[in-house]
Amino acid sequence: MNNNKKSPVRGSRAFTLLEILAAIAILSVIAINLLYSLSEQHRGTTDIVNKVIAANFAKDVIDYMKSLPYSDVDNSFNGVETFVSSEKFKDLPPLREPFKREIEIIEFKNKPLVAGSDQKINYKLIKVNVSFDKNINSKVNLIATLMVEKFSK
Amino acid sequence: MTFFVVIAVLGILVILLTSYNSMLRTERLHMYRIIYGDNALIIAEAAMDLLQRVVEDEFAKTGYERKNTFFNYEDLIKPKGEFATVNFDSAKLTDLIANSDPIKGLIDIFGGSRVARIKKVEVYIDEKNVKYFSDICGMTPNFVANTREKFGIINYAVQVEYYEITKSLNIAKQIKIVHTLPKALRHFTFFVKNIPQGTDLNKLLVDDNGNPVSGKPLVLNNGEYNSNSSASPLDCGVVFLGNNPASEPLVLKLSHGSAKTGTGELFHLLDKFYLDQEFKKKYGGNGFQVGHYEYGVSSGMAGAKIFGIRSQKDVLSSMLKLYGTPAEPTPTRVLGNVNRSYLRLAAYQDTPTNGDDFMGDMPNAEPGEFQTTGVKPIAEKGEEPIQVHSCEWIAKKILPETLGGSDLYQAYAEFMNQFIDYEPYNYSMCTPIKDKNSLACDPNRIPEFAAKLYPGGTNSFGGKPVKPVDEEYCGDDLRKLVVDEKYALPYASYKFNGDQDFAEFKKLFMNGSNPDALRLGLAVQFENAVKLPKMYIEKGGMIICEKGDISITGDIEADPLQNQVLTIIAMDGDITVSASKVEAVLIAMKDGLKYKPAKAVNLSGTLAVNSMDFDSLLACGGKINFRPVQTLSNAQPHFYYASIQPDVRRWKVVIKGE
Repeated sequence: MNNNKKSPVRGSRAFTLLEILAAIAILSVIAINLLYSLSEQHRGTTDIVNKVIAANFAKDVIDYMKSLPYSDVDNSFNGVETFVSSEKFKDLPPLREPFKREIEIIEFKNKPLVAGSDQKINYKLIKVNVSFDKNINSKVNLIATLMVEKFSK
Repeated sequence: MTFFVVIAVLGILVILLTSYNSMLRTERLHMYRIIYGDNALIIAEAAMDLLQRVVEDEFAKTGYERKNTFFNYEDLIKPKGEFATVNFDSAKLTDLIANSDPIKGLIDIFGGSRVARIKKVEVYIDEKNVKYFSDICGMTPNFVANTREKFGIINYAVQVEYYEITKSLNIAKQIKIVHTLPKALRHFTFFVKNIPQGTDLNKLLVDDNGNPVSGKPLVLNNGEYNSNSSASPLDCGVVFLGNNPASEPLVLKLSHGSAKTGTGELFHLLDKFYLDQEFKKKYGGNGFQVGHYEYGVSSGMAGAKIFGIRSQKDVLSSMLKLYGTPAEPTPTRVLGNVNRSYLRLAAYQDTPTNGDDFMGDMPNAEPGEFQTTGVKPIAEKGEEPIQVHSCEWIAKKILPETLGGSDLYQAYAEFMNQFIDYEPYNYSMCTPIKDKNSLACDPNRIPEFAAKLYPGGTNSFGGKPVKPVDEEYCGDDLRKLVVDEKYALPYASYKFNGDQDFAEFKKLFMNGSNPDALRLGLAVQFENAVKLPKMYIEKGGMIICEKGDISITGDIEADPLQNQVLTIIAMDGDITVSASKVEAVLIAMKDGLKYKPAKAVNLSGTLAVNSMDFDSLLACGGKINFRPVQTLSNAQPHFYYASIQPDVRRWKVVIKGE
């Protein structure tokens, strides 16, 4: 009867439980950090996607405004617009929740083109804030453009 | 084994997470780049809009307004062969755009100059893309080609940096460089191409003072030359009357005019009379002189005792007063086979007011070699009942006997006592003419005077057209002068259907705070009839009507400080004017076209037409004042060249990212 039992290989040894636990812990820490980072990246990506959408909503208005005659772009457009309804921009793609659009037209009349210049200019700055959070002042995507009427002396 | 599997899974998980994370990050950065790039483009678009306005504003300037701030206008209008690529001053333009209040305000909204800036602005016109109207349209007979007129491409580029993302916006637009005053015609006050045979222009009935009794005259003011300046008589407006047939001269009867109020010509004598103190001592109190001028551009009639300027019957004179009026005399160069008809008969007594007066020589001019009709009766003014006296009687009355014997009176009477019928209208140009500033018009100042101004030989049209006209028109017969459709129509940068589009025209060019203000700066074309309402010209240019009439229903006035000229051309229609004041160049040159006044119009500029409705003119009268700014010398060729960009936004846009 051969009762030969294999004995452990001389010179080799298994991971200790401690080692395994340490490795798992390290990898877990790394994984957790990665997961956290992933979550942040994902949130950032969601944010930037929303920003792109917001920018497009803002550009819709800017393109529309620039297609209007200079005199028609006035402060009657000023105000906050939500996804509910918008008679002024019915031809534009509708806003969707949670986006809100705030428009501000600032008109400058007979202003020097540059400081001290005798060349005067009429122009309008069109500011469009598109928010996609509950608060209009947070997560703002701010875009603006310029409409120039004429020069005068 | 389990351990390795766990480790491997965890490892793979980590790798996957890292990769995914990296991918998300890359994607997010990419999206940020898109947003930043878009924002950079929005700023670039605004800067481009402003840049174009700046350049357009510079182009829209004419003449005196131009300051050559960003480019030298002389470079732009260099003729073929000399024209080279025009690079605008990029540094100045970049500085102007980047520091302009609108762009600074815009950049502030985008986060301020820390994150966004205008890197560079460029504008240039490449000589390779430039073509010349003279090449494309061909030569017009008798016209000197204007090789300065051209069209090409103007390139704009704006470079904007936003969060280290740089975007370039490039726009190429067509540009035209044309002269907004048609060649040759701009030198004329009054140009009538076709006056049919039998047309009688001598229908103006005047009274003893030269005031119209029936009918109203058309009075010209061709400008005024001044002895104290170097202004040449060539800078005055020219007149052309194209009679038909050319062999039969058109005769215009001059009529006398009273000192200030008359509309007749003070052609009789009108040098100021001088009293010589020595002469006075020698001959007593009657120390005055008699003189004569055929051409009335002098002052000094006030207080004078006038003899013999009274006719015994109705005086019908020319409805065209080409010498102006006694109160506003004007030099006149008349091209065409035109004679003047008048009674050379006058005497003049003046009361000198100071001891400095000068007594000159007796008139000793030889009688002209013209047909005369003999002695006409005259009467002393204020004499009741009217007594008929001879010119010799007048001579005896006003000339001291001690000055000479009866031969003198006789000679004087013969010389003065003529009725001139066939004297070229420009005859006075051969004799010194004095205006109220005492300028003698030296005929030598007009080279080849006789050849250019006198009809003769085979040329019945007033000789070769006088300079500066003949620098642009090289034919002999001014009746062939036309507005060339091949040139005029391509000039136009905007095209409208007709009057129904006038609201659109107003939206583009009359959109300022003053609803009447016209800011054209280029050439526009109406395909059909158009009515022009009241306008105030802040920037001139050209309005061309291709087919149909032009009705000017409202006053057209030019900003007196801007020296702007509006040219209105009916290519194939009449021009009807029911306004009372028009400051513009009116042109309707095609056969059959007419100028039809509906009321007395005060026109400042040029009236150049194929023919006139002279009956309407006699009923309405009017005045044409030549605007000297139209005939600037060659030293200032940039005047009235317009540089035109036809449209602001409908041109190819090229976006470059870096």
